[in-house]
Amino acid sequence: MSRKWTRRDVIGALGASGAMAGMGRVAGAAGPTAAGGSAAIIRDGKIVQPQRDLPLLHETEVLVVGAGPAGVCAALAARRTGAQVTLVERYGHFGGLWTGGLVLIVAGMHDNKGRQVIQGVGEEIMKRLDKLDRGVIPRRPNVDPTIDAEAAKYVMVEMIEEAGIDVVLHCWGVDAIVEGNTVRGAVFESKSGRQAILAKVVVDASGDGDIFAAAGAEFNQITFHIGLVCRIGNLDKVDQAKAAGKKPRGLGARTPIEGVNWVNMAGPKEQNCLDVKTLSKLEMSHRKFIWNQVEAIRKTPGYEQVYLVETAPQLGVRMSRMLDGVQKVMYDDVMSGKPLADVVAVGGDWRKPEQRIAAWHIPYGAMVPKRVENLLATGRCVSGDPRLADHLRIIPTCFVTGHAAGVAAALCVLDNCPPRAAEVAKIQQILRDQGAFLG
Amino acid sequence: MEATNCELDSEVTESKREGRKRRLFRLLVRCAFLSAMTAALLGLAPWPWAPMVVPALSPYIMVAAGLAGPTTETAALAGAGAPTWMPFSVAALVGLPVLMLVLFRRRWFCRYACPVGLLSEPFRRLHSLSRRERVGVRGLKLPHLGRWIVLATLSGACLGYPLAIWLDPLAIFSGSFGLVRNAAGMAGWVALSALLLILLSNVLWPHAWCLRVCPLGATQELLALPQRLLQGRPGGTLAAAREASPDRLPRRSVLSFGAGLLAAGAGVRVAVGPWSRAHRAERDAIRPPGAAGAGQFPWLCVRCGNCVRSCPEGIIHPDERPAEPAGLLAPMIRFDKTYCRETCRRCTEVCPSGAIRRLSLDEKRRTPIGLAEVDMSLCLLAPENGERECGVCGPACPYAAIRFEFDYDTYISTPTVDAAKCTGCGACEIACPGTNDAQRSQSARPIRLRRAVYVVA
Repeated sequence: MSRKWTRRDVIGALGASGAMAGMGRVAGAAGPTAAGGSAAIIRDGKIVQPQRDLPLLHETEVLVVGAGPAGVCAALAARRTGAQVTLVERYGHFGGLWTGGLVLIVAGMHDNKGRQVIQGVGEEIMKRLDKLDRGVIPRRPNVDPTIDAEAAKYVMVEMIEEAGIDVVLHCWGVDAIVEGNTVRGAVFESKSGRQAILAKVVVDASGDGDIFAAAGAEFNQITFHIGLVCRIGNLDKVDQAKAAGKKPRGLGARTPIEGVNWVNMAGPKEQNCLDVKTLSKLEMSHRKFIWNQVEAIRKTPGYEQVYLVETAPQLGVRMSRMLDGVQKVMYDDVMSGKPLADVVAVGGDWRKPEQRIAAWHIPYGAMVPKRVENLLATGRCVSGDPRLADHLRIIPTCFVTGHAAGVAAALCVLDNCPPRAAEVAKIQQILRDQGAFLG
Repeated sequence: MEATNCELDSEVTESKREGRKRRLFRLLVRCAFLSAMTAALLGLAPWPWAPMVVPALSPYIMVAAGLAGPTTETAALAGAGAPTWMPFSVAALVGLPVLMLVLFRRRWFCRYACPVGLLSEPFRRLHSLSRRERVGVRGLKLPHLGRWIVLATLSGACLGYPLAIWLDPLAIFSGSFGLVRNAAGMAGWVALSALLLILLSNVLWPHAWCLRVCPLGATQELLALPQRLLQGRPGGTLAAAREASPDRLPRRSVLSFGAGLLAAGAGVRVAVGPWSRAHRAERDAIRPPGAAGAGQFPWLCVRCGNCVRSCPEGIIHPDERPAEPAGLLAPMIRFDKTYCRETCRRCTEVCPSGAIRRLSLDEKRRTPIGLAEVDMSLCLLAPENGERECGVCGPACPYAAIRFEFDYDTYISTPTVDAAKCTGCGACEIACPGTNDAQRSQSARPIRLRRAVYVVA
């Protein structure tokens, strides 16, 4: 039909093309998307995260990233020393691998003389567990104790709430906030989205040194074995007569719960503990192995009632990054029990009493990065010889390094000095006042 | 007979004839040598090779080791570095000046340098102080044992087995310092006793050792033989000797040469023959890096104790329970608390006879002394031993020779030694916590303490 365009037609055509143009803008690459501009986009074959401002979740004095044994002790100690503390944790529980990873045993509390060298805040947690029914296997001198994970999780919730520490769980520390070489806080991901927490001093208790790595501190990463711990039950229902002394593989060791054992797994060695493909593959492989191992136990005469209680919610990642700090814990010093002037933490040995080494020292500088300011590393990722991994990563060492880092961080806030310039003698004094054993 | 004795004893009479000034000068030189040697053996000199100089001064050791050195065993080991004809280059250089002087002035060493000779003086005085009739060497009719020892040793050396190289007085003197540092134990006592025996023998028979038994002295005599023959000195030529006793010198030489060959042959048989294998100990001894072949090493070693004392880790010990008699008190390595450090090569710098070849640090790191092996029945990673989270041997190895093989079906890790990288340094052995200690205490018969990871020669 070719009739002459009326005024109505012109207005209609203009309106339609205008609407189409508008829709085109909405649907096109340029301009706001349905997600409001925050989703990642693909541009020129690359996946790009558009720049945006991060909301500030919180501002605090001492920020502790990670609530494993080191992080919990750091937070409690910093609070007690007098700073405002925020504790952030990626899982939903406190205790890290100690509870969530079902490590359970606090192996390495004593030295070759049979003294319990692990004191301070860590020992306070243990004392609270002593008071609970089935919190810990009744403690004996010179014997490393085994706890119950649920009891420890509960005890730590109580202690942290009593102390008045701000807590954010289910929140993963993913980046550092830096001004040149100085750390100003950290960035977190959670269900609430990507958010920032600013702090005067940051304590990296993430175990993997995620924050110090993001901030550009020097470190080296070592490979290590990855396992998965499980708990099995009904060991008190084993028919010993039927078993006739034959023990199947993988019975593990006692826990405070009657009939329930925890079963360790060393796992394949030399793994890259930061590779998600490795973690995924091993998680599934371990789960299958554990299931099959328990099935094999159930097929052993007398052990038919045994069952798999749980596999640990946390994969047994034992060691990855180690800070390259101002000082390093040296192998020969540890083996010879050399006393250090700058000692802020003293460790023990998990071996049989006659094989143990003497109490060994960790200097303050092992927690301080070489160039990055306002940041302290604590827990297994402190600066040390890789051959000392088995000494630095164990739970009791994390207790004492956490305690030391917490005190140091709070002191830096109160004295308004950078961690690099903190007075070690003052740190040592406060640690002693808080019950720590420094040799 | 008189003529020959007179010739050999001329040194004694010469001493009697010399003037006071000369005697004082000689005494000072002898004291200087004794002090210098003592200082060197005590490790007081700033150079690491200083202790080596003491026994290396001996022409007896130098000639014997020099003849024995370039045999197939040593040659095979001389891969990188030292040329095969001089497996102990620095030691040879030290002995060379002494050798040269001997050719001109026979017995100068005894008169001016030998510490055993100087230390014997007070004992000789004791002899002359006693009321008993002097029993001089002339009256003793002691046969020239030294000459036969030297001929036997040198004959054996031609086959690669210098039989009695350890009878050298400088080696004995050196060995007696074993009681001072690194406590060589039995070896130190043996050497000290031998030294005291020699010194005390002077009370009864002064100069008996020096003139009749000492192989170093006899070597000097042997080396001076061409000179004597050439210069035609009275009483020294073959003719004069034949005059004095027609068939004395040549027949004895032939006899001792023959005896030496026989002894060398027997020695070789003992060292490497099937007899010794049957009696071999549980493990062959681990020798220091750069050591001569297993059969030859105990024969080349003069038991001076330098390597034992030089080891900063103290892992070298004289073998008190050898697999074969020839290996008695020869140095062996035992890792008790520490290992053969990858930064050290001290023991290769102090051997005077080339039993341990001189190595650079680079060569030492590439020279295996043994190979690590894994006994899974003791390893803590095995399920029967608790499937513990062990793995200390891997990071302990300075050469990264230990990896772990993980079986994804059995979920067992096994430490695996890369033979191409392993030098047998023992770092893994001393780190390993898995021992048969429990089995040992329960066993009726003695079992050697073993670790799950251990080094074999």
